[in-house]
Amino acid sequence: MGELAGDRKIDPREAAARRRLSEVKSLLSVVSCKGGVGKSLLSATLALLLSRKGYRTGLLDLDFHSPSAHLILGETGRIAEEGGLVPAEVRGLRFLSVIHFSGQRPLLLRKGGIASSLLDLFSTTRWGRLDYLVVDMPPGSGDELLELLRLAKGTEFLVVSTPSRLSRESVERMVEGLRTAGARIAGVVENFSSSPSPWKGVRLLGGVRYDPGVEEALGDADRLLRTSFASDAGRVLEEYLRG
Amino acid sequence: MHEWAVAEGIVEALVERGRKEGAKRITGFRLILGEIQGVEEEALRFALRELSRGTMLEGAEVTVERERGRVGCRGCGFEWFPGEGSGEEEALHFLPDLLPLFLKCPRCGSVDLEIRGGRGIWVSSLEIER
Repeated sequence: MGELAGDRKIDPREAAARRRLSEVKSLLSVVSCKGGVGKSLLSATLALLLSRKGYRTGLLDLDFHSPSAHLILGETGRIAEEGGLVPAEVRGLRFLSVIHFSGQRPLLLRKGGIASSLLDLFSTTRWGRLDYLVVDMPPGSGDELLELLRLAKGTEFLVVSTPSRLSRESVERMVEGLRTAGARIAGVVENFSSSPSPWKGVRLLGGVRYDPGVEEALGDADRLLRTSFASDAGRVLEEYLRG
Repeated sequence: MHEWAVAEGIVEALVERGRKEGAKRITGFRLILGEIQGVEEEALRFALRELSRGTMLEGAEVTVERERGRVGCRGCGFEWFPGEGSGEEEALHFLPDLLPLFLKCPRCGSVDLEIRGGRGIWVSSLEIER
């Protein structure tokens, strides 16, 4: 039998991942360098808004250390095994999160297995036909981001920042890095900001105001969609959909 | 990881590779299964037989080798083989890399653990007919 050299060995999960993702028309990954800038809230809200517009939408929470989309949606739902992994159905979304696997266990987990985990998730998950899969990414530009770039080359990145220079500078670097890697960048969203100042060299999709009512609305999708945060996110979405 | 999904990936990847190599048939291949992936061999062989019908892979001889799962403690350095039974949690069927969440070091009780072997699935050799 012909032995395959190291770089020619075949990992069957890669072909499976490509095929499963081919059923997803648009993959939108919400990223930022910093934690706490509102990625999860924006991801979940955008996914809910897309679903309410009639698009078949999925939400994938890829934050292995701090998943929170289930708290925003108010429900975790149940995954199933049927010719692969079938995501949960929550609030009109196909939903998958590390919480489906970890339960409430503390997520003390080294990064070593993240790339392999992403391959496992993408190769087994049967999203079915989706118009949009919104991916809530963990903060930073490490393993998850690089692996996503490798496995899902067509993904578009929506980069979240705050008006603070501490965030803007990192985000500018991230945008530059994504560009160098050949990634498609949908644009930047400035959170906690009613009148964002222009961004150099990258499209500004809009600003999202701070709304103290969001905290009360966590777990209640209908109430969340009535907040000013959601109406601003709706404008961001319209801008994104205009292309 | 579900066996059917693994088999789909194998068939697709090997047919693609076979085409690139100008193969008429793939007559055999060796598959390495990391133990922590929790793949059940008989279920996988069944899925492979079903899915390879009518492809250049049909009738190929499949050799399966297992790589032992190995977990190491970053606290005291102890290393052990958790064995197949450690994958009893349904979650690990799909995301085996979460295994450390379900374990503690048997020597010092630490939860700072890493998987050092038995991760992944790959085809290590291939026999083709041109």
